[in-house]
Amino acid sequence: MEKEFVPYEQALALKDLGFDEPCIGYYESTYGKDKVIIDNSGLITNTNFSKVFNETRFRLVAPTFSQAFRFFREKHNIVHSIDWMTRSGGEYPSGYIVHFRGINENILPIYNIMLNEDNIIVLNNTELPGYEVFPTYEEAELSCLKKLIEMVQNK
Amino acid sequence: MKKEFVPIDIAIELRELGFDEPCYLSSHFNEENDEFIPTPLYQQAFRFFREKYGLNYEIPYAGKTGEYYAFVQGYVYGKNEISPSRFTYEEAELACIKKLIEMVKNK
Repeated sequence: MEKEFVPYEQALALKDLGFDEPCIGYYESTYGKDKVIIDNSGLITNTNFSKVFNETRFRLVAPTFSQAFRFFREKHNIVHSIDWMTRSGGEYPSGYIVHFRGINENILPIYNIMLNEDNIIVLNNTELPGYEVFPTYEEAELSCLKKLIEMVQNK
Repeated sequence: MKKEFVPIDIAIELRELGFDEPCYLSSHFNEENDEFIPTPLYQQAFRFFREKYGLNYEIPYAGKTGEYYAFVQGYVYGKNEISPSRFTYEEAELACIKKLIEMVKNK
């Protein structure tokens, strides 16, 4: 079930970027960075936690992937899509690709191309020329989230 | 948080198709028998179709109008497939789930 939630490092980055939606899961210092505690009260937000906890004993909300992506869509005007791509031929395996698009405006340049409504920008492979093709949806999802965080941090 | 979870009628259909994962929400759906049904997150429902049936979805941004397309298995889904329907993101999610359910039922 923990795969529904963004990992600790990304949850922390989202908090720093202003994510403050109610969540159903959170990380707590007592249990470490891999354990998500469930709380269905609808009351847990980073703001509420900051009133009670401090840096030595902390709680941090764990957004679902879907919540994190909504945050980028609605607050930062960046949309993404994770698409299955079937490729025949052994050299190029099938898998998932990630692409980004901006809503309404010139948001920032990626790979020297401006992210806006007109351009669809695909996540590139960091080691080889061309698109990054992910064997699983979950790998594509996490790489997509990391790139979104990086984009907004560098805005 | 409510919009993270599928509607109750979809939760019922998913259960009929074999969805049996732990969920974070139970919805009261039969007052007579006081029955509750586990209600998955959308992302859990999409994972179910991906892993159990090998079916994928995409919700690409349609551009300009602020709307989205609903794609299932690479094909656009909507009332009119020549001029594809455009949805809000949340409507597109629901349209994809409904199409995935239909595809599995008709297998």
